[in-house]
Order: sequence, then structure tokens, then C-alpha cells
Amino acid sequence: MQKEIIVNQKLYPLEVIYSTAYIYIDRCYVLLEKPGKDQVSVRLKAKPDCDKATFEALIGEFENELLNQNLRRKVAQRTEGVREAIVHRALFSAMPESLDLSLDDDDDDGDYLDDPLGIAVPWEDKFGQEKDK
Amino acid sequence: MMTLVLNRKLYGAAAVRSAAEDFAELALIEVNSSEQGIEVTFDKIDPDVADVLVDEFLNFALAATIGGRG
Repeated sequence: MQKEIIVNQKLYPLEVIYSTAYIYIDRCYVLLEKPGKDQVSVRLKAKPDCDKATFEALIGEFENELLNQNLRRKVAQRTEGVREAIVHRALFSAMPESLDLSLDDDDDDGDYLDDPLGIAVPWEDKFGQEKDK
Repeated sequence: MMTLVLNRKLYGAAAVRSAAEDFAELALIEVNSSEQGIEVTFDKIDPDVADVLVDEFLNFALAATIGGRG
């Protein structure tokens, strides 16, 4: 027993066909072919221990799973930004305290008015006035 | 001896070779890339698994392709 399903790649991208096929390769034999542009032929073949009723049900399930995987892909695309933000937030929250980069608990005793390197001293005070030419 | 051609846009050559290595004990499997696609030739198939070997091989090759082995 075997059944060929022609899938339009404009409606079901290859990754959707792959993920659907992957779910079924333990229940039937799957062969992919390319009969034309934007078309993928999925040939499902029953395994030796599979009866006719089971195989027919499996074909229907396969077609439904194509839709299901397509929807999952679209939802995944739509929520990609949110998922990334959640992961970033989770990673940031899990950061060890030793790496805490916040400015709240500043242990630095220095005063902003301290100028040990003399950076705030004007050039003229340090090296004298420029000579007139 | 039996030959089949797999579409290169659907099956990865490395994945098909990897499947051929997995099945090396059950048959002599030769994999070649041609203009038509990936040519797979089966020979000296173990009689105990002769009725399912090619189909099982195709499932392995597809799984390897999807799993990123090619």
C-alpha cells in the first residue's frame, strides 16, 4: 500500500514538510521527490505490519500534521522577538552577583572631586603660558 | 542490482552517504552525485531484509537530512 501526496511549497515550505515527515518515519516509509517547481511529492508506503485501515488513517493524520506544523512555524515566527526577550531576561537574571554591573551598590570610596592624576588641572597651570611669537 | 536517484534539493549528499555507512553490513551501497541528483546503487542485499532494505534506507537518509547530517 502506498499513497502519493503532492504538496505545494508555496503553502507548505520545505521545513514544514521535513518536520511532518520526521514525525511519521517510524510509522511508515517516506520518500520525497520533486515533480515540479514549488511542488514536493511525499510518497507514503505502509510498513509490513500496517493494515489498510491504519494506513488510511495515517494518511489523513499526515495531511493534518502538515497544517499543524505550518501553524507552529507561523506562531514561532510571530513570537520570535518575545521568546528572545524572555531568554535574554532569564539569562540576565541568572547572572552571578559577582558580575553584577548595576551602579546601586558602589563600593568605591573615592570622591568625584578627587583628582589624583591632575586631569582637571588646566594646561596653562601645569605647563605655563604659551610664549608669544 | 538496483539504482535510484534522490533529488539534491530534498536530500543531503552527506546524509545519504551517512545512511549508506549505517547499512553497510546489510548491502553493498554506492552513492554518487550526478547531474540528475544523488544516485544510490544497491547490490548484494542481505536476503533476510531484502523486502524492506531500500525503504528503510530512504527513511534513514531522510532522517539524517532533516537531522542535519547532510
